[in-house]
Order: sequence, then structure tokens, then C-alpha cells
Amino acid sequence: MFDLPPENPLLDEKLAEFTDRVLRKDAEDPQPSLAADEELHRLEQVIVQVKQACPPNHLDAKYAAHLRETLQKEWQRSDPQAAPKPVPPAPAQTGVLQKIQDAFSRIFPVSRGGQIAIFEAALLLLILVLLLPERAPLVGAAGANIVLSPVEFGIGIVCLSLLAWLILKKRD
Amino acid sequence: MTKFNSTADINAKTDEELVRIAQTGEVAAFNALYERYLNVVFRRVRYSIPQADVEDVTQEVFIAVIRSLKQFRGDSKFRTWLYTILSHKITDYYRSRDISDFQWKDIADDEIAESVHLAEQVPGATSFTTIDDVIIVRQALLRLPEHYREVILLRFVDDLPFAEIAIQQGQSLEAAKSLFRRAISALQQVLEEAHV
Repeated sequence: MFDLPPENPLLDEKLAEFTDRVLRKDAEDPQPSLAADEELHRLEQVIVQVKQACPPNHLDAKYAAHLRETLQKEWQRSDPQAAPKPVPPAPAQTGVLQKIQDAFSRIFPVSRGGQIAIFEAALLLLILVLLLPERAPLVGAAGANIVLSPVEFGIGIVCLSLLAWLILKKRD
Repeated sequence: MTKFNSTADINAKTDEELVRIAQTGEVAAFNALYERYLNVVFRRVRYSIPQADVEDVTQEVFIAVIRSLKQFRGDSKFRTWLYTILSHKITDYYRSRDISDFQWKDIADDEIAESVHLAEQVPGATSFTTIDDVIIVRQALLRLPEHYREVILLRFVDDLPFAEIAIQQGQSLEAAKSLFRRAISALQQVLEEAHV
């Protein structure tokens, strides 16, 4: 590894003092002394070498500003408390789904939560109806050979929705 | 609502006070720390890694500070904690690279050249005036044990006086100066090997 120099507080002090002089900005660069102490002379040369290997610090103002901006974004990302993010507006629904919802609101003027519950139940039933084979017997129904058409199912959905609405309204 | 009424308020706070305020989500406190330490971090990074990557690594250091700020408990000084993060980032940078083969020479930047040029202008300067020599010193520093490299960088790059180095290292002034001389002595040995 390294050969450790023996303890020498005086040498420590002299080298520190020389380093301070080398790094003092307003002073001329001192040269290694022609010290009688050969070790001190060699160490002083190293000090001058290290000083010369230190480039001047040129921090670009543009870079500093850009970095600050990047860090602000990072701060907001990592600390939601620091910058509460505005709730983005729900994307406007368009098309058939919106029209169905609007019509539904007009038919069932209940609270938004209730409307959603009814709408979802109706939608689920509608999907079931559409997926049901056209002539499938309703097992377990009175008169097992009775077959319901999609229109009859639709009426059933409306009735169920109405029932659900009445229950919700009563609860409110 | 900011907790600071003026710049003077911010300047009056210690690093650790600013950290505590920043931990509550006050971005102004973090900005103050950023302003205080940008130069320090930038100088350290540019002394430790090639110029092409200095800006990226500096940014990574500050992002790491933001991400782990909540974990800072104040057991050590903020500056020491920051240096630990900085040191990890530089280690990460070199982890996938072989330092001994690292081609500083190929990417020697204009500022190294400027440094050399300044050295050449000093009457009676040592023969140490080429870019190669600057590169050798930087590589030699990277080969030193961490505690030796640290004390040299604290004095030369961070420009801390010995009294502050002693406080930062938790040592007496005499012990800090003694460590510095041993570090310079070790550097001299590495440089001698490099020149053989």
C-alpha cells in the first residue's frame, strides 16, 4: 500500500500553510520552497500539481436554469403535497353511450350514484340478453317450454330498473 | 403558502433547518439548498468524471437528494449527507467502467486546456504543464483511498479551509492537517509510479 510518513506536526503545519498560500486567489502562485527539508519540498510540488489540475469553475447559467426547472418538475412528481395536481376534467363522452346516459337521466331523475347503479345493472342485463341463445328455454321457470323474445327481456330490464330506482329513492 | 417572507429569511436558516422545512413540502427551502450547493456539487462532479457526463451526473445527484430528502433524519450534517449521495453517484458512474483504462485523454475538455495554459503562464512554473500531466493527477486521485481523496478534494475543489475540514470530518484541526499531509504523500507515491 502506501508508506505512511512519520508523525510530524511541524511538517503538517508547514504544508497546510503552503497550501493556503497556493490557493489564495489574490496572491501570486507561490513556488515550492527551496526548503532544507526534502520531504516538504516534494510535497509542495505535489500541491502545485494538484492546484494546476483544478480547472476553473465555469458553471453555465443556462445549464443552472435548466437544471432548476428539471428539479422543480421532479419535486412536484415526488411530493404531491408540494404541488397539488388539479383534477383533470373528465373527458367528454360522446356517441351512443352518452346519449343513452342522457336519456336515462331524463327517465330516472335520481342522484348521480343511483343513476350509475341503475345504468350499470341495466347494461349488464342487456348484455346477458344479447348473449342468450334466441330459443333457449328458461330452466326453472314455470312452464319450462316458454321462451322469451329479446323484446320481452327488454321490458323486464325496464321493470327491474324501475324497481331498483324505487328502492334507491326510498333509501334516500 | 411559503414559510419565508424574504431572501434574508432563507439565508438565515441553516442547511438542516432548510431540510426540515423542505420535508414539509416547501419547495422554496429546497431551492435555497440547491442554490447553496449547486456549485459545490458541480465542481466535485467535474473534477471526478469526464466533462461529457458532468451535467447528467450533477442532475442525478440533485434528483437523488429530492427522492431521499424525507429519509434525512439529521443524524449527520446535510453537507456530509449530500457528499455521501455525491460519492455514490460517482461510484455508480464508474461501476461499469474500468478506471485504469479510462480514456480521460480522449475527452480532455477546454477547461483542462485552459488550466494548463494558465500554468504555462506562471513564470518559473514547474515542468507540470501538459494535459497529460493534468490527466495523470486526476487518475492518481481516483486511485487513492476514499479518506485521502476526500480531504484533498475538500481543500482544493470545495475550497474549504482546514478549520472547516476538521469540523466536517469530526477531527481536531491538527488531525485534519496531518491527514492532509498523509494524503498528499500517498498522492505523491501514486504519481511517482505513474511517471516510472
